[in-house]
This record gives sequence, C-alpha cells and structure tokens, in this order.
Amino acid sequence: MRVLQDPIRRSIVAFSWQPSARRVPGSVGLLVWGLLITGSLHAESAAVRHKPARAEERASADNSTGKTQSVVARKPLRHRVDQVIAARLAERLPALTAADVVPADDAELIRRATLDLWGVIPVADDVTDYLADNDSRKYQRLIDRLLTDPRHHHHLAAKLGITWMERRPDKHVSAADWTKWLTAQIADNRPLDDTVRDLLSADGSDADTRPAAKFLLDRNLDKDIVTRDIGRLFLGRDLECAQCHDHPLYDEYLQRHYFGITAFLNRSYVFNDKKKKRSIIAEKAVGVVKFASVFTNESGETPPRILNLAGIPDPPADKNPYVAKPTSAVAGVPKYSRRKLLATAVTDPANTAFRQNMANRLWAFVMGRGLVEPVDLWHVDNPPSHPELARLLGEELHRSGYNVQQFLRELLLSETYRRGSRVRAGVPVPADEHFAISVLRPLTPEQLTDSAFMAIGLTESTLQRVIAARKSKQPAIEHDVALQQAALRSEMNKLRAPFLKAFVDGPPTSRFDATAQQALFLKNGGLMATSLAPRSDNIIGRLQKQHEVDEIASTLYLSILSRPATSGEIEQIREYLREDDAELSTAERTLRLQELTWALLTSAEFRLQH
Amino acid sequence: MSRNIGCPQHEHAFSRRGFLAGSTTALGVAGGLQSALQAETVSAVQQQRKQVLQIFLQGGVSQLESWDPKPGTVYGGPFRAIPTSVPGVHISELLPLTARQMHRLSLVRSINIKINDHGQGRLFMERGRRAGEFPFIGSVAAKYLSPENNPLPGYVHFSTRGIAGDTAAFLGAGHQQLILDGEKVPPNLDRHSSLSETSATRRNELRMRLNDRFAVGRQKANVDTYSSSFAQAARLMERRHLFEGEISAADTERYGKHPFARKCVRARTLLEAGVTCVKVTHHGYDTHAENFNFHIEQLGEFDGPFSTLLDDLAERGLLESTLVIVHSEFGRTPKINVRYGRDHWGTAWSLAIGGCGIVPGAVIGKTNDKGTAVADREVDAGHLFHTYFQALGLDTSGDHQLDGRSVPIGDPAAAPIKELLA
Repeated sequence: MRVLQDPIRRSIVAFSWQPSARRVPGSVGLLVWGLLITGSLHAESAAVRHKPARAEERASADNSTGKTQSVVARKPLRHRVDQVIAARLAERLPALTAADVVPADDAELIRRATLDLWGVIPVADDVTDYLADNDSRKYQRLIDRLLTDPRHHHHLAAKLGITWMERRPDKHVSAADWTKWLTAQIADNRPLDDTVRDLLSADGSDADTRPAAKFLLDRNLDKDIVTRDIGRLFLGRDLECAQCHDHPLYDEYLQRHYFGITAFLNRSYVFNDKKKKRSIIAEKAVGVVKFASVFTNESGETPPRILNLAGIPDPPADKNPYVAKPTSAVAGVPKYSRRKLLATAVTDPANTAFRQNMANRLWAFVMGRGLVEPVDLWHVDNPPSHPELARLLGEELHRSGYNVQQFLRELLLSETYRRGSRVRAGVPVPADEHFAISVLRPLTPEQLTDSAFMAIGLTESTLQRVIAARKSKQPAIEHDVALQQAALRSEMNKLRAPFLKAFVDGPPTSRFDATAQQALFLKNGGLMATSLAPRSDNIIGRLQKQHEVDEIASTLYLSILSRPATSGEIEQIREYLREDDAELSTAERTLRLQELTWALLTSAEFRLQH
Repeated sequence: MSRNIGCPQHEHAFSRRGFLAGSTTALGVAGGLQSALQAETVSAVQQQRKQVLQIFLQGGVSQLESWDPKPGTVYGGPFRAIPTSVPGVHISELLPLTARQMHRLSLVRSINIKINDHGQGRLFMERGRRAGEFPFIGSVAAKYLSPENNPLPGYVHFSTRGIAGDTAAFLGAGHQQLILDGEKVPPNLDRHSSLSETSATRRNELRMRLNDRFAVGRQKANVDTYSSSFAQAARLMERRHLFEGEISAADTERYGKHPFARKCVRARTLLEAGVTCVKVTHHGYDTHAENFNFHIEQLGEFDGPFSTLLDDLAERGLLESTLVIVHSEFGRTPKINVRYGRDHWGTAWSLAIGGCGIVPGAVIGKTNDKGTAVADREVDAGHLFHTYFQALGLDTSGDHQLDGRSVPIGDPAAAPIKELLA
C-alpha cells in the first residue's frame, strides 16, 4: 500500500478511458489508465540539454508533413505516447482494467530506470534514499540525475557500440577507442544522425574520427556484410534474402534495394598503409553493380540508392577521375566518391526509414520491445504494433534534431514506461506488444555482470580501493564521478571478463538465451563460489555482523533485488536461519546466509528487467 | 498451490526429493537416478528417434584419395582403387575397412560449391546457404529432432581446436553446439568443493520458491526459459559419466588409442544416450604439401574407428535412425603441385552419407575422367542440406517459425537429391 501513500500517486490527475474502472480497495482515489499527469512533470529540466536552434531548423526544413510545424505548442511527447498506448489498449484489451495491473512502486521504478540508463542495479543506499524522499517531483529528478551522469553516457555508448558492432572481434580499431569516441558523442548529446554520418563516412585517415571508421573497417568493408548491416541497423530492414532474388516472402524487399546500398560501397576497399602501419578506406573511380535473380531471368543494374528513393546517377565520365590514383602504395581517392554520398543518403530527411528505425530502436532500448519487433524486420507483414506511434516517434526524433537525451527523457517520463510489471492473480497476462505492463526481459550480459558485482558489494569495495590508491596523485578523484567511474571501469574490466564470457553467446539478440552452461557457471563456477566467500567488504561479511532478521532481510533484498523485503519474505528468512531454535553454529549460519544470497542472485527477479 | 508456475515439474520433483531426503539418504537418490538413466538409454533406441552423426574431415580430404579414385590417370596419384561391399563401386585403397561398409553408405561424387576458402566452404556445407546467418546442421537437428525436455545437449561437437562461432543463429543459444575435446568433461559440471550437496540442494530449492512467487501475474516464457536452464544443468551433472570415464579395454582394442578413435567411442556413447547430433572433427587434411603421405596417415587414423563405429551403431539398431555424414569443407585439386600437394578445390568433389532415410550403396553423380569437373548431376551444399533433413523426416520446404517472421528451412533455390532418399 506504500504506493498509494506516495505523493506522486496522490497528485495524479487521470483521464479515464475505462468507464468502468474498478475501485481499488483501500485506495484514496480512482486509479485509472490514461494520461496520468502530475503538474510537476510538465516542468522541463534545465539539466537536460536541448538544441533549439537545430530543432527549429529541422522543423522548417521538414517537408515530410507538407507544412511547417510549431515546436512550442506541442504537447510533450510523453503524453502523446501515453494517449496512443491507452487508446489501443482500450480497443484491443477491453476487459483489462487499470485495477488489474499491480502498479509499479518506487523501488521497482528506480531499479528499472537505473538498469536502463546506467546498465546496473542501483546501489542499496540510493534505493533507501529514494524511498524516503517525499518530494512529489522525485521521479523526474531521478531521471534527470540518471540521464546527466557519466554512467549513463558510458552505458548508452556501450549499448550503441554493441548494437552497431555486434560483438565482432577487434580488427583495425580497438574497442576501447570506439567506446571512448561513442561516450564523448553521448556526453555531448551530439545529434544521433551526426554520429551515424561519421560512422558511414569516416575513412580512418583522420585521428579524430578514426574510431568511427570501425563500423566499415572492422567489417573489412565486405560489401555484402556492410550492405546487410546498413539495411538492418540503420533502415530497420534485413535485406539479406534480397541479395540473391527479390525477397520470396516480403514483397517490398527487392534486389535493387540490396544492390542500391551495395552500389555506394562497391568501389571502396580497405587499404593497408604500410608506412603508417594502419588500414584506411580507399576508393576507385569505376565499378558498376549488376544483379541477377537465381529464380527468374530478371537482372538489373543500379546506381547508389536507398530503398525506393531515386538512384543517384554518376556524373559524366571524367578523363582524369582521380585526386589520388590507386596503386599498391597509394590509397585511391576519386574526384567523385560514391561512398561519401552514403552517409547523407541514409540520414536524408526524405528517407523516413532511418528516423523510424532509430526511434524504434531507442524505444525498444527502454521499453523492452520494439514497436516493430524484430527491430530489423520492418515490412508490410510485420507492421508496427502501434503504427501511428511508430510514425510519431520517428517524426519527433527527427524534429528534435536527433536529440537522444531529450527523446529518452520523454519516454522515461511517460506513464507507459512507469507501468507495473504484473497483473493481479487470476487476470490473464496481457501480451508484450500491448505495453499494458512493463515488458519482462533478460538483463544483457553486461547488465547482469555489473549488477551481480554491485549486489555482492564488489563494485563499492573496488571503488573505495581505487579512490584510496589514486587520490594522492589525482586528488580530484575524491569527488569527480567521471574520474571515479573511469578508474573503476578499468579495474573492473579484469573481473568482468570471465563473467561476461560465460554469458555472451554471439551477437546481441532480443531472445532470452538461457543455457545450461550458464546455469552451470552460476551453480558450480569458481567465480561465484569465491565471490560468496565472507570478506569484510562484501555482502556476506556484512550479513555475518548483523543479528536482527529484519536487518539481514533488508540488506539482502535492498542489495540484490533493490527493494525492501515483504513481511512474508522476512518470515521466510527467519525460518531459513532457524531463528526460533537459535541453535545454528556460526559456520552453519554463514552457510545459510550464502545460500540466501546465491538464491536471490540466481532468481528470475534478479535475472530479468521488469 | 501455484508451485508448478514458472518451472517444469521435473525439476521440482527431483530437488524436492533431494531436499526432503537430505544427506543421509543421498545414496538412495543416486540409485534412483541410475535406473532412471538406464531407462532413458533404452528408450532412445526403442523410440527410434532420429539422430545425426557428422564426421568433419577438416582441411579438405582429397576425393581422389578417398571416395572418387582415378587410378592410372594424369592426376590420379599413386594409389589403387579397391572393390567394396557394393559390387561395381570402388574407393581408394586407403580406406580398406570403410570399403567393407559401403553397403551401409552412399557416395555423392558431383559436388561443386564454387568456393575454395576454408571458412566460407565450411559455412556453406553446414548451413546449406552461401551467405547469411543460418543455423548449422547440428543446431537444426537439435531444434527439430530433440524430444521435449531433452536431458542432454542437442548438439555436441568433439573438436580439439575450438572453432568458435555461432552455430545456432536465430534458433537461439539453447541449440548451440557444446564443444568438447573428448577428454575433459564440460566446464563447471562438478559441484564446487566449498559446497556440500545438502547446501546446494537447499539453496536450489529456495531459488525455485522465489521464482514461483515472482512468476505470478507475469509472462511465463522468460521465467520458464531461465528455470529450464537450471533444470538442464542439473540433468547434465547427473550424466557426468557420459563425458568421461575410462574407455574399456575392448573398445580401445577395437577403436584404437589416438584422439580421433577415442572421440568415436565417446560419440557412440552420446548417440546411445540420446544426444541428437554428435559431430566429430578429424583435423589435418589441408595437404598443400606431401598430400599422399598425409592421406596415408590421416585416412589410416580415420578408416578403423569410423568403420567400427558404423558396425557398433548397426549392431545397436541405431543406424537406421541415425544419419551419418562424412564431409569436408571442399575437396582437393586434381592437379598435383610442386610440393606433391593438392590445393583447395570446391569444383568437383565427394562425400559419403548413410544411415537413416538414405538409400544404401548408391553413387550419385560423377566427375569427368580426369576428375577436373563434374560430369553429371551437379549438386552443392544447398541440395545436400535439403537431402540430410528430408532423410531425417523434416520438411525442408517449410519455414522456421520465428518471432515475427518465417525463414525457409532449406534454400528455396535448391532441392533434395531425390535418388538418395529411401
């Protein structure tokens, strides 16, 4: 019932779409679906950067809607999101009422948001402080704090880095340089389309943008791999089958779409600069792309093009087409570069697939499921679950000047994001695509690893050790979070490696691939065993010193599950520790504390985002 | 009681029993397991579940020194062709024991994959697709031929050099290959020394109780998936003996002592126990130099254990439900280079196939007299992939039904080799 005493909840004004909303027994008012607006949520935070100049420029340049739009008079995106979700819910699941869903409480929200924005569960003290905070605007303050912290910049950068490189082994650009570059992009809140343009245009010769060239260089500029990945990652369309024939199942995936992308790339190659000992991207001035179907007699030739947009014809042939003629020692640079056109063509406002794909992926990032799912199969037979929302999100992302921070902030402040994660007993569980309850999904290997380390106290103890070791040489580390986190990361990376190795299984996927090998690692692995050995600075050491069951339960549940234990759970722990008998030896008691810790760490509640 | 929400009954039954029994009756529990195991071993045979034995001759075995000899021709090399148990079919004299098994096998002598690269060739032969992230033979078999709640991994690959890589693609990590070296058990299969059985059982029971409570009112799929992974881990631990233990003197005598021989014995054990696909990699066929000496050695190692394994599978009644495939990533050039080697050759080469659903003693296609090109019935890995799974009873013109999409199981541009299907 703590939820209902929460000031945020009490200040809720609701527009009901559910005329027969049930009264929740014991509640102070009607809890209903719809637009749940606390007055305070309207206030914009100065902490979150906006790029008004860029955004207005976009708005007037945007001809996709055929008219100039006003930026100021629009309702915040979060309300429009909630409106669509609520309206479709009323239509598609009329039997489900607001009271059927158990609302998310404060603890669930701080865990959810911290996992999504920082990639790790919150430290126990942050949960306690948040629960004790009586400010009606505390949720918004939380989101703004999370979004502006270096931990968010690093997490989002790592997430994008994995999305774009798909855990390929390093080839020409190191993962460290790549993540560092991406982190700087996020920390500056650089427009996402600018970042993508760098990815697609950098040739690796300029030190500043060389990390961006990883996208092409580490794929060895293999035209098939790059073509497919541009389709999937930036257009939301896996055109793979269209390599050999027009797609047999999806009418709109055509061979010319596939080869239209290839045509931007087919003249480019990886050039090994032996003098400078590095590889960069070079290009020839000639080369056409032809294709033939393996099924039919159809064949064709295409200039560079993005999906159904017009092809980009080459200029008339030039007798001397090179700035630098390619030789074994010289990287070719043509006067007219097809590859240089790629970045602009992909991100061109006329190519709405780009904005919709980016918006859908950001939505999936925090909502746990794309409006189009799988996120790279956008076609007529796999339409968005909420087409108007998919369109709206794409337009808003574009109009905001691809301001990722603002976009994520709107999504996290929406009621949709803050929904509960379960229905009351006996109510049929709504399918994920309705977004009626928060989507249950596995933590990524990185989230799982970092959360496990946070839960057992390893992160905190390592941080203290790192600060102590470095403060004489680097006094600022005592209060500079960015410095602390950077130092902590380099220290933790060694510890993370074996854990990550056990859970990373190929490229990232939205499936939950829980394997027996992973369970064996958790059951029998040496790392788990040693992590749970009592140490003065880990959770077992702390629990050993605690004598009251309430205190033990609180440490266990707040540290691992990021919430207080319920009275039933406290009783369960009392029973488990045989408190009534008071007979357990110290060794047996420690053993049982370890068992409790292990069981919570391996529980579905810990393993999943909810 | 909402106890069965969130994880399969089997897991509860086991650990609750263990929990209640406690340490004093641990022996009794173990006894129960033993008999449960025997029952499962028998049932794999009785139910005639379809299985796959895949022998991968890594590096590219020479078709001219194995399945398609051309003695006395310009590129034929020094070895003779010998008759086999199938009248009229001859194979290289380097395979005398396999020759006696020919009535259980068939040959495809007209493969042209148009690929001369190890990595690409291997992927095409495994996926039946030239490009793209498709599942390997073993992962497809694991997905469609494994019984529900299979206590064993669906796809075990014996290989001394771990070739990393995603074999399951969109089928999910549950169908990924489990790589073993044939000597050591899979990692983390033993309870940690610091943990007693009582303690392990107690905490596991607690974990399940937590999950039961958490699962109420939520989508079951992810909680179930997670719980099943623990149940499967427990079942693997119970079957530790399948992965290790002394190989009997009789088997050592019959199979041999070298690593490939030992892997073949383990492969038999796992097939008997019910692993859906067992792949054994025999390394070392990339004979750019000294092709002939190396093939004497390599095929000398291969011939005995492979034919003994066929005998054993047949004797146990498993051969009619087990598809046997012996293949490489490509063959070797007819032209002999200056180092007496043969190079990469995807243009005209062979493989052997037999067992479940395959017409025995057949020879599909042929190469020209010098072996430099396919002369008849050209096929590639796409046709072969269809053939394997049609033989196993899977409709390869159907689709993998995935979340939000369907993907054709076999390449729609290829078709099975009908003449091979029984």
